[in-house]
Amino acid sequence: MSFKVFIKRCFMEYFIITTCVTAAIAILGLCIDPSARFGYESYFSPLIFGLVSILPSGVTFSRKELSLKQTIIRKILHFFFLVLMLVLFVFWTGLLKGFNEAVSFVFSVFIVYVIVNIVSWHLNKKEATKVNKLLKHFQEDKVR
Amino acid sequence: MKVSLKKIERVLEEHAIICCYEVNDDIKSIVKYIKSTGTLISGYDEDRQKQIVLNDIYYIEAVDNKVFAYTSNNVYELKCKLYEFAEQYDKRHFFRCSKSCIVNLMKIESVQPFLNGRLSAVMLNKEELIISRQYVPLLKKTLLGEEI
Repeated sequence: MSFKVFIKRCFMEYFIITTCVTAAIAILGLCIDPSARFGYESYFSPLIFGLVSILPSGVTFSRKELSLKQTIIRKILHFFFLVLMLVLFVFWTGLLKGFNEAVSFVFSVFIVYVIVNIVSWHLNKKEATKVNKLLKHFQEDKVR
Repeated sequence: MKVSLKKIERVLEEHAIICCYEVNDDIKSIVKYIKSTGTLISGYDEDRQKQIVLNDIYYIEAVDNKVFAYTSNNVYELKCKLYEFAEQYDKRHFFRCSKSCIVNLMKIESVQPFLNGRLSAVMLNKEELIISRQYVPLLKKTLLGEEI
């Protein structure tokens, strides 16, 4: 993958993350503390969370095509750095204070990470099925 | 259309003659197919030059500035650049599936999902090749017969 393609992908992921964080804040806020009021500065939090979440993606960049083993190692490293960045960020901002809170936070990040990967795998499987059908038609057509 | 087959001696060159009223699309596609089946290219197996039937090649890979052609059970070095091969044979079932690899679409058994939006092509000899994410839309276009 070229660096340009990688940056493009990062931008796309950044906007997806900021949208999801905004939606999560709105839904969780309404459920947990609907009377809370915020100033204009609160608009920055999804943008900052997005930025913090996208920085560890640098680990996944490679100009060469990665093998399955290399991809899995990079994914594990990516998850590790993502958790580290997020935990450091939420402690620094004072959003989390105790060890128990941190554990449940890491667990939630893990769940989201797994769900995202399962969804991505499912979409990829759908794509593979489509390509297989086209491939079969193509091969039959050429032999005929 | 009536089909006649005639066996010839090994010393003679194999050829096909088509007797038709007009050269229509069907005839053109038959001609294209016949031409592609017999195409030979030169490859090197431990410094010995050999002729490889183009359709026997499973995939072409560039490794350390050298280009190799993989058949079902042999590997030959080609004296050309990967992009030169791609330019010359892209109309003959060969598709660029990653930066360093060109695959023969007729030798793919199936494709499987791989990590990070990539696909893995399982070849007829059970070898697996990675199809990069950026080449997947191009692959679909090629299979649909659209111009890339």
